[in-house]
Amino acid sequence: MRAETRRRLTELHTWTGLIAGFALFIAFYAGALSVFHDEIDTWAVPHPPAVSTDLIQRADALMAKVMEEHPASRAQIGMTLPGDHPSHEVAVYWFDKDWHVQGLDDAKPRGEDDEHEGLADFVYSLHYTLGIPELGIYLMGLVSIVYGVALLSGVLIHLPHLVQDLFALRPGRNLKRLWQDAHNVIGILSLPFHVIFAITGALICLMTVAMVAFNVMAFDGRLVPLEDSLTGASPTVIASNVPAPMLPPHVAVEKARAVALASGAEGFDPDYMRYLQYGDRNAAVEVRGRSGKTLGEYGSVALSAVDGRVLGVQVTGARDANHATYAAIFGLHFGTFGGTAVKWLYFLLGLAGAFLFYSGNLLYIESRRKRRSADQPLKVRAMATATVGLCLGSCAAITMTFCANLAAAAAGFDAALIVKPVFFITLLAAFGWTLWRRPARAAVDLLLLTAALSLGVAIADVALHGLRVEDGGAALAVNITCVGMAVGFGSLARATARRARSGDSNSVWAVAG
Amino acid sequence: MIGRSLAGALLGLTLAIALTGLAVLCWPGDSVHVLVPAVVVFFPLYMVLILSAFLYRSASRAWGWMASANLAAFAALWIAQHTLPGLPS
Repeated sequence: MRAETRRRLTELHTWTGLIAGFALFIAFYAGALSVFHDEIDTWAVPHPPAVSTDLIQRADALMAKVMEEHPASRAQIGMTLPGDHPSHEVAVYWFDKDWHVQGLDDAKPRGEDDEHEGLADFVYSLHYTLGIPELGIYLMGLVSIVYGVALLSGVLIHLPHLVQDLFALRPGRNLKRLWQDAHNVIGILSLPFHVIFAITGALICLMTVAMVAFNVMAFDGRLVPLEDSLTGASPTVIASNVPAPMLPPHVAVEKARAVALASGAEGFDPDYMRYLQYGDRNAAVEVRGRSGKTLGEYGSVALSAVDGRVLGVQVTGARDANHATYAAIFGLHFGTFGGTAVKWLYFLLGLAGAFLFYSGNLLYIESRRKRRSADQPLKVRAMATATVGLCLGSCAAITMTFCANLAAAAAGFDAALIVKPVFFITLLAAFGWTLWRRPARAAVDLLLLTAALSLGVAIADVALHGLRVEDGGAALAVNITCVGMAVGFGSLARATARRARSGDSNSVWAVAG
Repeated sequence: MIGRSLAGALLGLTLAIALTGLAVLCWPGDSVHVLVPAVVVFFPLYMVLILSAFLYRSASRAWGWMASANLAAFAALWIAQHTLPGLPS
């Protein structure tokens, strides 16, 4: 590679990293936590309301009521089936110009984007929207594309000495080299993981947009009408306008399960079902569910809603390339193809990814540092402030939402109303604190705060609710992880404080005098 | 840098769509069966094309080559749309 090309790629890597790095830090940190979404949800709702056994019958009644009030919903109406974590909602979904949702306990329908998220759902949606309603998901899709370009340019730059870099971590006086080594080692070792995330992240956020673009530019308007059949199992249903009695949901779900198992799926755990053209002689019912021992766990079975005849089967072992690929995208992104060990691996690689973006910012600062002056250029100071305020600030803010959730639950207050504001107020305060205290001190403060909150919330939870070994110890594991995170953030705080005191004083990371 | 970025982001996008679309239409089996895999391939292809704009000697060369590639790809796509069975309507 010519020196000039290499320099240009380095510049590209720097800029794409800067543009995407902050959003990716939050996405990876919140995403790593979201690997344990269900466990966090179990932790967050210590006294779940008793699960009634008639959920599906009540949903059935609600569905009938919705169709009575909104006849257009008969074209496509579905419901989420009972799940195994406390804030999982059984709700009816229908399409009538737009998507509408009504939960079993809701008095009236709400829009699909009408957020009312508890702790686990908030952290999860933070990771793909940054908390920005409507447009956030598309923004993260674009960030994923920029991230892909940053990965490619990074690999090309390091390609000539990829192998040497892999085994080099040189601690010593040259700090830039140490950060460079750490950035390279983590980048190269977790490259397959990052490739997966750049691609599946972009896909999940932008798939519908891409389909529309392909529809217009390459397929003459014939793709969008096929879209449903690429991801679901049902063929297109055309109403005959001859009414017929329908199979009730619980019967359809049981039948679909039997069909999936007979087709060779390793288990079939239904989580969503929908009717197409409800009440019509041609109506179909489609049941989506999860199977084990496969890369893509999701599959679906479509039956005639009148007599239960099989219309389509797309489950593991019996599906085409479209459905296998579609399920694999989600399996790879969510790490659902393995057991607990894979979840922990995804958690650790997610945190390592957040570190990769953080260390990229540190490298930017280190390579533009003035070595002979205590005063640093504005761009270096601005970068240090943004890095500490946004990255460490969001770590503190997420931990604060755990505390807010605990306090709300103890006070009998609805946590879903406060987690999002608490996150943004804490993030804003952390950023203000960083501006005021300067990055070197603020970094130590925020790391210590995160460590203290993390330890505090675990102790407070045990004090309030006991050890919580029920539900397979999910809540206990969250508390133990909180203590582990506290130790991690605490040691980062110690290292940062030591560097501020006794490191090179010509740096944004030094505390003057 | 801005010139190359724009060439990559805009012309790379249309080129990636044309090339994956072309691959789907030319697929030896039924084109419908490779639609989702094609969308999956589209994203890394787009990323590679954005990067490729930074490998030319100058921004104008990047624009020139990528525009020509677009022309060729869309011409091929047009021919494929009018000669091959394509997607069912």
